[in-house]
Amino acid sequence: MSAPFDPVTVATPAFALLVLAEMLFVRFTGRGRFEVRDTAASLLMGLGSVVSGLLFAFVFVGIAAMIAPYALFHFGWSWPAAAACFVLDDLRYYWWHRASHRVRWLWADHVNHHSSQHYNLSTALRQPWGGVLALPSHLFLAPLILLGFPLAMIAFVHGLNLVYQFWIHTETIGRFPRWFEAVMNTPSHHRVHHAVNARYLDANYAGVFIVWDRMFGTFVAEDAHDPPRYGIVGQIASFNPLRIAFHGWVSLAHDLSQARSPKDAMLYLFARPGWSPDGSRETTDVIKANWRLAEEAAE
Amino acid sequence: MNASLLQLLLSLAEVALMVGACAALFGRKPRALDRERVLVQLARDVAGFRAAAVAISADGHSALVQDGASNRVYLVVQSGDGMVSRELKQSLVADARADGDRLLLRLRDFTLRRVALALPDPGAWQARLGKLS
Repeated sequence: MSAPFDPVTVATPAFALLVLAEMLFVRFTGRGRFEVRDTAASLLMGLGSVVSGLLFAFVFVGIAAMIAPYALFHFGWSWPAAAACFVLDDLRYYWWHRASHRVRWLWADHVNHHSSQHYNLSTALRQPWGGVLALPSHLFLAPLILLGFPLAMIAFVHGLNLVYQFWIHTETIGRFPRWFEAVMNTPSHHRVHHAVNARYLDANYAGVFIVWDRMFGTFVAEDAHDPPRYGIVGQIASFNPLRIAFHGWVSLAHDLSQARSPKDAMLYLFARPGWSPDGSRETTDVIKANWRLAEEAAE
Repeated sequence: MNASLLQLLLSLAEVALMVGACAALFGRKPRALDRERVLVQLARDVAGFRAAAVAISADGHSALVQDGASNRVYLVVQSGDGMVSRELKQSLVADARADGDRLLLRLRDFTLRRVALALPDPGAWQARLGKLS
């Protein structure tokens, strides 16, 4: 059986209306920020991501079809199975997302989503185009397929996951009641994830359930005394979607071309973003360590 | 017309509509760089930063700042209503040349390739950049 519908396709008109509504709200309340070229870049990145996803869907389907015959179980379509698949897919998303921030090869693609210095609903649509090149990320498909969930069900629940994540990209919502903030990913938690303040780096990787970050030690709460500043550690200076989409890949390719040994090449691919053979660049771990030292010295 | 092409064109029209709305609501010219904004940005980006020399380009789009503690030189450029900073290392700067009252920088940076700064003394900054590590 195929999926009942594609959640992202169904939600797309609502995405557009909500972006427009947020613009009006921000304009008249001053809560949040929009910038024309940034918004245009984010929206075009979203459109380009849909196009590249359609062009290269055969790669993902092909990999999934290769893995499927080795499934341990065979769950049919039922709502309890879909609910279990949704939760497990969110756990899969957590680990994929964490790897996408900690492995340079995957960061080369995911960095695009973080490349805006703004945080509004259009930022949610700023999606990468080169997912097909981030080969190790395809491995994260395997567990759910091997467990025996139908491919259409996996695609369906993942679509729901992405739709959930849209609305949390906003500065217009403060905090929800404590019980909700404890369990669910919220605008407050996700602002932390998009922030470049040292205290917030490499935190809150959750898709829907923030409990994964609490369980695996990556949760950081938003601190009213340190408002998030958004973007990436080395901010980009372009609103050209092509430059945004490929800047991470160009940087990685340049480093690989300069690698002096196979070991260096492997570390450029698999070590943390910011790793360099001579240690002349800073990883987020180094930035956080320096920040902690400065905080301790100030106390 | 092919259905996929039609869908793509409709999506582009939708994007154009939203960008138009954004321009109508937020289409103000960004504030030019000033000394205070530049130094606040660098204090955020560089741990322990302490400015020794600051030069803002006459057009207010970019600035050069030297750190007093390390003698490192930083470039700050306006990007929309935000700013982007780079430490000017030898590995980043492909060329730095004074040309009249301007300093022309060519960088090995995919999103920031060329910067022209109108400065009171571009030759002095060219000399500083010539000593980069």
